[in-house]
Amino acid sequence: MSAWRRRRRQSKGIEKENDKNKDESIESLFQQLNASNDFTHFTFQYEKCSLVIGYYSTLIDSEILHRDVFPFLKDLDVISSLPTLLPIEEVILTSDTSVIKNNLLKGYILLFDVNNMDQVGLVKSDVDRTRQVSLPEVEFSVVGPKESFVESLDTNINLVRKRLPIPEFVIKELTVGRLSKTRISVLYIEGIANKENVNTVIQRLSNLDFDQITDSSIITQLIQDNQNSPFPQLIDTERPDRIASAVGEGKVAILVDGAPHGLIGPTTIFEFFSAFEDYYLNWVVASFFRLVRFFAVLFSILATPIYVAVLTYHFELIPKDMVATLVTSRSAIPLPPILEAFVLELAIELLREAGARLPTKVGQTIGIVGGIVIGTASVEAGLTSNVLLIIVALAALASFTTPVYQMGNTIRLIRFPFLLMAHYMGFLGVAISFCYLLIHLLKLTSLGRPFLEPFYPPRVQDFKDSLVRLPFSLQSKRPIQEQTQDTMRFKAGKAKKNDDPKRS
Amino acid sequence: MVNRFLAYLCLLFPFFLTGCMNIDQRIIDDIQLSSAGGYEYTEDGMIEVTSVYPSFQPDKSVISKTITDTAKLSKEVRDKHSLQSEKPVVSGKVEVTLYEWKTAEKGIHDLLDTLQRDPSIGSNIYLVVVDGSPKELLSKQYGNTDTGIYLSNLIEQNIEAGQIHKTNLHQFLYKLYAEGMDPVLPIIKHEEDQVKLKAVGLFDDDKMVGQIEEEQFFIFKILLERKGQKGSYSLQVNEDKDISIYNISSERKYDIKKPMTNSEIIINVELKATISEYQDGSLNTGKITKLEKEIKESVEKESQEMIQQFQEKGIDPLGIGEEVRTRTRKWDQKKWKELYPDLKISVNVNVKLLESGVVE
Repeated sequence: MSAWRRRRRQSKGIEKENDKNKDESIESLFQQLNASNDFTHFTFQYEKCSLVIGYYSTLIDSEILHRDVFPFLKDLDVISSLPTLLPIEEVILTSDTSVIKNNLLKGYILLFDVNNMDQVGLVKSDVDRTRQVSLPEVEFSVVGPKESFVESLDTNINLVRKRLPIPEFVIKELTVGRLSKTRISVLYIEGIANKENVNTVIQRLSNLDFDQITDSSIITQLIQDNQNSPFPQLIDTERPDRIASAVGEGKVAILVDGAPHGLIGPTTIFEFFSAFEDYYLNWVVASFFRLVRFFAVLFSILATPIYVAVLTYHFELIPKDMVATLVTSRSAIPLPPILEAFVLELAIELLREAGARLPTKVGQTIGIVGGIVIGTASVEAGLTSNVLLIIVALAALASFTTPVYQMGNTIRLIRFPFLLMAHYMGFLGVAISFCYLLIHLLKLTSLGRPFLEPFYPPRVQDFKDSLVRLPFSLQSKRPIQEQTQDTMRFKAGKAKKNDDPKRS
Repeated sequence: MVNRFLAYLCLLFPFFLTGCMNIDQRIIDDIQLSSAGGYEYTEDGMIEVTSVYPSFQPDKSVISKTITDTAKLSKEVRDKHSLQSEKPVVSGKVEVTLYEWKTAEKGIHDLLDTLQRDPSIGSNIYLVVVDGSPKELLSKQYGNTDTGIYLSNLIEQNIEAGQIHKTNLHQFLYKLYAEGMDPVLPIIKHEEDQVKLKAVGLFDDDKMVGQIEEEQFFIFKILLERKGQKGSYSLQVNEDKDISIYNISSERKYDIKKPMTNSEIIINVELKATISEYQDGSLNTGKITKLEKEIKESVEKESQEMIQQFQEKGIDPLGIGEEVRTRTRKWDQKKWKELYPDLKISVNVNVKLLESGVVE
């Protein structure tokens, strides 16, 4: 494992930062570095040489410095013997000031001989102050692995790679961000993933010019095909098993240093509604849950607009047994249906926003205040009808069933134009909005691949894992969506064969 | 870029023209939902329309209210109704329309026009003939629902339970305009505090000319419907012992050898039934076969009589003409009208008693 890690690190130095003036002297470098108070440097006088040691005290692990570096230095005669002398694997010998600067900023210790400045040594002793791998919180599943990504890229890659112990699993690393210098890894399997997809991702990432990449969601917004669409076009996940499975399917994954979420592409809209737990449950159950989720989405988008449209224009459509319920619940309300709906929808959005912004303990009270006090009080005060209260609450609940958080937000947002159109034109308006939505979705692509696949373009084969999840024995082919080089996941015939001895 | 911008602008323009779309809002609590309408011709040829609308009380109970007015046209009456109402009266939730007996005899075609023309009125509303005054019938409160919905439930329930044939505006109009068929409508009567579904009215075109009584509903239904279900029939077997059977499935097939000639038309009915009540002791296979024969004879006899009655009146509610029409290359309605009264139409019923209940 350390072998590839070292290779990756070393190759990285060459990749970038060549544009800076190379012949910058160490003195001027020191001058620049000294501007920061946490840069420490001092000179040691040894028998054979006088060593200058410099490092960012906030970046290095002083235990490594005192345990693995200082005790060995007294035997040092030339800098080039550092790698053999120190019990640390990662020692770089260089004379390039940009390499020195970059590595110092990554937690390396700089060592050089005052008398021989041709070559300097850089010893890795960075401190790893990230949290431990913990339970997934956004995509929690009852069955299945309970690891989730953390803020350290290396830990995250480790979580994925241990699920894919094959040499074909390749990681390409890039650095993006003028200020943040964020390491971004592109993960894929050579021989499965489509070269075009990989190249698209790498090209888009390397063309990025941005100052700070603080999270993977910024990368999503920057590299997705249509940046003005409310729909996310790359799946955001905190589950290493989901990333590993997606990579195995021929997709390309992106991991960003400092981000506890990875990205997956190309994808379809249906994947946003599949929880990864679907693959751990029996296919019948999983398919049922998926259908429930799709119903929830439609309900969430259409329920309130239909209520508004029916009550404003199409009273004929109300079943005769429901007329009494609807009319009595609305009789005391002075607002037209649209305002009534807006008041409640906004109340729900306020609750959600307040709940999301407040610390957990206060957030719980918000739920109680919102649910009980505002809900019942607004009905009693005659501001909203209780029928609408139920519809709006159910629609909000339905929008939370979406497994990918970003998509859930989108679903909640696109309800509002529907609502307005329902008020202006009734069902005609709802139909027009739906057409707009459909046209938009048809136009969307994810890394250049159609977003509404397998419906458009129609690909019957890919229905096996979209609206429903069919059994694994029928999933022997990789989805067409990814245009994989190797289309077969496993042999279908062998998977179906039952070699159990016959019972007599 | 400019072109694209212009294209988007053009797409946006229709939205600024919402004023021209003339979609008027009818918010549910700002309108008076009429739930039933009763029609009656007055002596001077005007139409008297009574419409019922539910008034929803704050304690969730419903009180039916009626407005009556006369005018020359039905929609004109609606406007007059609005003059008496705090909210505009709309016809979109009309469930039942009622026609007074004499009005039905005079012909209801002109009154149906408004129902057909109004897009907010569905074609699944019920039409009924009232024995008595529709105004009186509608002004009473039945149960704790609105009168219109009560009447609609009354008819719907009886159709679903198989008591009467399927009927609604669509069926009526279809039969009215079909060349070899005449429409029928249920007749209701207001008795004390109840409404009773009393008979089925037979129409010649849009004029009511006769009726079928309650006892004949079953026979009429199995002859009318190609595939029927439900509904029960009772008859007397030896002395004053009665039997009641319940229709599990009936299938009607026409056997027309030579259409548009004087040759016989045979209506075959395959009736599968279960015995729901039998007063003459226990049953065995022999007895059941005997019963089957008796039921067959009785049903055949009654059917025969019913068809005879239709032929005498020159009406065809069973749609025999329609069956003939489908088998004829050159359909001639006039010739059929001449042929029909003297045609020999026989009914052949095949009864099978599948179950006799759980009695030991």
